[in-house]
Amino acid sequence: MAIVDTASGFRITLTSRFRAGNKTAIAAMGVLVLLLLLGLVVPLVAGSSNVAQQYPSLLSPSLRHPFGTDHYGRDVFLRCMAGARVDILLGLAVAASALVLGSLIGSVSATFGGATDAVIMRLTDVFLAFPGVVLALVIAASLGKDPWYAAIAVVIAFIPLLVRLTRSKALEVRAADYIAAARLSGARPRQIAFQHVLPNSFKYPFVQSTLVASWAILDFAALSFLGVGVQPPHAEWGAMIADGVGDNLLGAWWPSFFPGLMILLTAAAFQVIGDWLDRRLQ
Amino acid sequence: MLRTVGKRLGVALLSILGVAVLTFFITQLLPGDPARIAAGQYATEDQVAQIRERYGLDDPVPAQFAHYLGDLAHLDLGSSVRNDQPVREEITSRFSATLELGLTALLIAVVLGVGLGVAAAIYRDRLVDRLVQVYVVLATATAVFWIALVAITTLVNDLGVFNSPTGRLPRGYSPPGDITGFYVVDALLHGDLGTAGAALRSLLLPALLLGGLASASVVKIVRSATIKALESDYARTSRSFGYSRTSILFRDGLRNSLLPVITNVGLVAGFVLAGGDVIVEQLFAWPGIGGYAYASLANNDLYALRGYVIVIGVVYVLINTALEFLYSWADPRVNLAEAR
Repeated sequence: MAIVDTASGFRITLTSRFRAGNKTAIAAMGVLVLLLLLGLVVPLVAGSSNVAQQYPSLLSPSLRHPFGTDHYGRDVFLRCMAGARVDILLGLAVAASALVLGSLIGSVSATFGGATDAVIMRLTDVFLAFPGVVLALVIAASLGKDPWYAAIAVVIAFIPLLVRLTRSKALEVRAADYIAAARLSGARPRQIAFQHVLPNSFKYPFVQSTLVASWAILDFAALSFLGVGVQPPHAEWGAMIADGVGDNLLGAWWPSFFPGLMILLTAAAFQVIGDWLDRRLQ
Repeated sequence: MLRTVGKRLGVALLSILGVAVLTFFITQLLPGDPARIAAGQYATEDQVAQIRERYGLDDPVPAQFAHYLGDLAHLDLGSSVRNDQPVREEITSRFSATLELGLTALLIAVVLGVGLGVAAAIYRDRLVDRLVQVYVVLATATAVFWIALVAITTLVNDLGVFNSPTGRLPRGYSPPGDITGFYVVDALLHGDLGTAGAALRSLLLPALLLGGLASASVVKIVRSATIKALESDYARTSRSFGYSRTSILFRDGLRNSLLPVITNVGLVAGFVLAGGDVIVEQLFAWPGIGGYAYASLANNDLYALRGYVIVIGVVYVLINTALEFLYSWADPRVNLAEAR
C-alpha cells in the first residue's frame, strides 16, 4: 500500500513488513491476555486442586488431563494455569518496578550531573560488572529462599540497565533546541527535568521494559528452577520444570515440557511486542 | 598509548575492587542471616552459633570487611561450609572444564550469529529473513534448562544422537593426560582419536544448546549492522565502481558489521560462562564451576557461592576490558581515553 502525502510530495510507503509486524504484535498481545485470563480464572474455578494430589500419578496427556498429571498426581494443565498468574504478573511487576526506579535514578543522574551523576554511574558500573542472572542469583540466595526475595533480586539486576538508558536518552533530549528555549524563557531546572526531559525521554526505557518483562520471566523461572524462587508445592513454571526433571528419566516428558512451553510462549510474546514498539519508536 | 592502556587497566582494577565490595555487601549485609542460611532449615541454635563463630560473623562489620579484603588480596576465597575445602582450589580445579564448554559455546554463538545475521541482511524481508527473525524470538524466549531437558529426552534418550549427560566423557573412558585442560585438544595431542571423538560428542550437545540460545543477540546486531553498511554511501560507491556483490558484502558489509559484535561478545560470554552455564553444567553433570555453584546453592553453601560469584565477576571484567582493547584496535576512531 502506498500513501501519497500530497502536501510535501513525498511518497510514504507502508511496507508489508510493518503491517506483518503489526499483526504479529496483536497476536502476541492476544496470547498474553488469554494466558493471563486463564491464569486468573482457572485457579478460581478449580479451587486448590492445582496443589491437591488427587489423580493417579504420571498419566500421559489425554482429553481429561490435556497436559497429563505429575508424579504427585496433580493435573499439569491446572498447575500451568496457576503458574501463568504468578509468572506473567511477576514479569509485569518486575518490569514496572525496574522501569520506575531505573528511569527515576537515571533522570536524577542526568539532571543533577556532577558528583551525583558520577556516583550513580560508578554504582551501575559495579552492578553491570556481573552477568545479570548471577547477580540476581546471589542476591536471592543471600536473602533466603522466598519468591518475593527472588523477585526483588531480579528487579535489582535490571535497574542498572534502565538507569543507563534513561540517562543517555535524557542527556540527548536535554541537548535539544526546545530545552534551550525553555531555559531561555526562564523555566526552572526542576520544571525542565519533569515537564520536558522526563516525558520526552521516558518512551525509550518504557519500550525497553517490555523486553525486560520477557527476560525477567526467564530469570525468575531460572531462579525458581534453581530452588531460590517459588517453593513447592506452589505452582510456578520454573519450579514445575525442576520438579519434572526426575519424571523425564522415567519417560514422562509432560510434567516438565508444558510449563517450559508456557515460558516460551509468554517470553516470546513480550519479545515480539517489545521489538514492534522498538521499530515504531525508530 | 601507554598511558591510555594504563588508565584502562586502572579502571579494570577498580571494577574488580567494586566486584569484591558489592559481593561482600550482598552476602554479608543483606537482611538474610548467612549463618542461618548456611546451617540449613533444621539446624539447632548451637549449630548456627558455631558457624557464626567460625566465620567471624559476630565481629563488627568493618573488621569482617577488612578480614575479607585481606583474604582476597592473598587470593584466598575462604572455605566452603559444606565440606571445609578451600573454595579457590575447588574452583581452579574445575575451571578448565567450564572454559572448554564456554569457549566452544561462544564460538558456536558467534559463527551461527554472524552467518544467520548476514543471511537475513542479504535476503532482507524475504523468507530467509523471516525465518531468522522467528529463530531469534524463539531463542531469546527459550529457558535454557527446559530446552536442555527436552534435548536430553529426545536427542539422547530416544534417538541416541549424542552421549548420555555424564560429564566430559562417557563411562569407560579415562581423561587424557593434562596439557591444555581441554579434553578434546589433549586427546588429539596424545594421538588418542577414540577419546577425542568421545569427548567431542559429550561436549557438543551442551555447547550447541548454550551457543544456539546465545547466538540470538549476535544475529540481531549483525543483521541490522550489515543492513546499515550495505545501504551506506561507501557501499553505494563500491557498487557504482562495479565491484561484485560478494566483494561488497565482505569488504563493506561484514568488516563494518563485525565491530558491534565485539561489544556484544561480552554479554554473550556472560551468558555462556555464567547464567546458562550453572544450569547446563548441572543437567549434563559437567564438572565445571557452574555445577559447583549449583551444588553450593542446593546445600546453602553461601561462602562457596560467594567465591564463585567473585570469580565470575572478575572474569567478566577481564573479558570486557580485553574486548575494549580489541575494539579500539579494530576501529582506530575509538579513543580509549575518552571512552568511559
